[in-house]
Amino acid sequence: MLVAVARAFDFSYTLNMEQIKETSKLTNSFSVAEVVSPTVSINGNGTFSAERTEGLDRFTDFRSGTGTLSWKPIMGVEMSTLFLRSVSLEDRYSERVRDDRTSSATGSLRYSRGGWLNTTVSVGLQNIDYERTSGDTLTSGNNDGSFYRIGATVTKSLFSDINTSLGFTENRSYGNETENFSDGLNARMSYYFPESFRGGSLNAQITASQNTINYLDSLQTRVGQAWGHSEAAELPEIIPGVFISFSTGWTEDNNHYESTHPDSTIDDPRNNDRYGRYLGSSIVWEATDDIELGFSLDRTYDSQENTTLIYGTTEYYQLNEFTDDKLLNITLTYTPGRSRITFQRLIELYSYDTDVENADTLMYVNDYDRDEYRELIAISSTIPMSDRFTLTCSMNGQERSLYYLMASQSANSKRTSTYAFNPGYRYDLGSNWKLSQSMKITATYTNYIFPEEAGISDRLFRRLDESFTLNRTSTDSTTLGISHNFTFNDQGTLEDGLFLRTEETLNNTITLDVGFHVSSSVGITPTYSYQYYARNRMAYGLKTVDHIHHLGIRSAIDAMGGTLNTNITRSFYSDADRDSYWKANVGFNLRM
Amino acid sequence: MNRYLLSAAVFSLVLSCSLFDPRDPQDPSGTGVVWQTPTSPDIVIENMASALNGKSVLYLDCLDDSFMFYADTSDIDDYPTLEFSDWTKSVENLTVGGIYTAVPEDSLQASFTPVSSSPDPPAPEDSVTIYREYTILIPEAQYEVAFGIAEIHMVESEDGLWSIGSWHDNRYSSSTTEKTWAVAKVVYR
Repeated sequence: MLVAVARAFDFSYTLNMEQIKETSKLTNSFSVAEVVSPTVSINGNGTFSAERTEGLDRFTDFRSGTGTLSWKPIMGVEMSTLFLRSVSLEDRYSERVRDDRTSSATGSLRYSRGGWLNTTVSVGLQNIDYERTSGDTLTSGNNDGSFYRIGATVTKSLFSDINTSLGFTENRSYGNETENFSDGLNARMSYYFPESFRGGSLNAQITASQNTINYLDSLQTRVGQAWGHSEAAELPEIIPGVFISFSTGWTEDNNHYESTHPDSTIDDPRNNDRYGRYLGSSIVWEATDDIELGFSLDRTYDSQENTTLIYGTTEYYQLNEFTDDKLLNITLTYTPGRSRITFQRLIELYSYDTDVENADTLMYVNDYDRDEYRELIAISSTIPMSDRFTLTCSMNGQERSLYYLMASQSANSKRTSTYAFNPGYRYDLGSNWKLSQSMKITATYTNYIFPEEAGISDRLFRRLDESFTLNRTSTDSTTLGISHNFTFNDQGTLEDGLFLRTEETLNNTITLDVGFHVSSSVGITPTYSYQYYARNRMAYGLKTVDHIHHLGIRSAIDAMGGTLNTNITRSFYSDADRDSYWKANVGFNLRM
Repeated sequence: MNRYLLSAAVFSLVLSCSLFDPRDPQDPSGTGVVWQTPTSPDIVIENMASALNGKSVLYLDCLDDSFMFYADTSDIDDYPTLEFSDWTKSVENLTVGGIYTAVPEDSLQASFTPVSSSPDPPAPEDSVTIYREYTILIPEAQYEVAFGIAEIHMVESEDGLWSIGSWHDNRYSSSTTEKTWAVAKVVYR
């Protein structure tokens, strides 16, 4: 008897607290489920979250709770009742500025038969109250009403090779301030070539949806419509070792306002339309067992229309944006034994264009038109020298040219060349001890394409990163070991080969973790880090040096069937004028 | 061997075609704005002020592609007919373009000063939140002065370069009559 009760009852609880300096967050949630009988079950869950920001004197909290009673009278039929209550509050400068409360009760009937038909019908009532305070003004209201939701999905296989799926949804919500209607339709089809074709498939999908919000006080309607289709084809392996695939798609979103009153003369031209097209292709050639050559060519074209009503008038203008992103990516992968060497060549051109309609009303101009051209050449390798010792190395060179096309902005056009070298190694010392070290050297040159007109000097940015770790980490993240991270970067102007530095930053951190297990279920990791951070802004004559001591503790404790994870750090500055601060994260996850 | 030749031919063809040729920019009619490599959050703020004061589109280069702008909830409540939601980088382009159009040359002045009660972290990690009191003078715009406190969440790329991930706009106080940056911009949306 006891065993049966224990198996029918499920409880989980999660708590997260986080504090970083003056911002604290708390998230609390639980869920409970009980199977009363083979046909009846009860579920409940609740959430409480809060965030406090001291400097802005802001406090927000959100609470919600739901309860569900479910009854399955016969196979394939489920009847359920759901109660929901949520409260959202916001305090600013010690005054309540927002108070939203929502309650609803929903009854649902779900029918699922034979795995090919799923239908759900829900009806309910909702109560929404809100209050807003701004200065001395209090606004309150409610949006009480009723709603229903219908959804159905049909999944069917045709001629044994074609899988199809058709679904639709219809949601209606009638409040005394707003009415929300939404409808959705989607259809999918997939076909897999017979085995004798050695792979290959065809996939197609179409979607359509419409969302409507009627604002009953202003007699306006906001309408959002979306359509789209996508197709993908993976060709059979006609030529041995050659795999070819194509994909394409098209989407359209239209958001606009309409007047719902038949006699209304209100004309609101605001709209926001988006059109997108996508074409992708890929060829992978497995030349030998350890050489693979891949080509992919992708093109994405998007356009967007934004109509803006000039404030306080009925005049408007429309900004049309067009983006065209073309990307060629070629990779050659050589995998002798357990090693892996990859050569990559990438070329990308991203174009952004605008045009403005009806601009005369405001003389609206948008000069963000630009072309971004990027070329990358990279080689990376992972070479196991033995079972325990692995060498890694990568080198890349990238050139990024940014052309602002319009005369008012073209002086900022520039070309950025970046070169990076990143060697490293990993060594498995056994008994869960790992040793790893890596370094990355980066140099970035920025040259202005119109140096005389720009009136700005070319720039150089250099960066050195080094990372060293020697540690042993248990499955519960209890860690014993030492790590070191070092970063140095500087930047400045580059003129006639002369580098005039304007800033340098050095960040050096040594961390000692002395984790141990009190028992098999309790792991504790005291940790200490010393951070040296120095920054010299030569251009402004500002130099700062900080010695920061981070003292912390991490724990992973298994208790009551749950796990308590804590990570608390207090950071102290050697400079007494700087305040120390907390960084804490406590997570508790319990299941019974 | 034919396969290698075919691959090389396709490769050469793709590289030589004009599909990836960028367009030539127009000759500049003005000067560039001062731009530093954004190796720290405060340099991003300096670049942003420099770009705004020069009416430069480089303002948008201070923003991460995932950028979101959040208005003060009191502004949202006080201006129910204006659209503050879903404020992405694309919307920022639209609204700042409207301000640039409205403002005469060399008249836009933006200044950002640290909030004394919330100093910047001396050694930022891979993401950080900083606070700035801002004053933005926008002559001949719908609202000519914007005051407020910006709660700016910065993100760092793999290359160690910073940009603005999100901007939470705040009024100085709940009863202030000064317009925020959100209100100054939203009328151009």
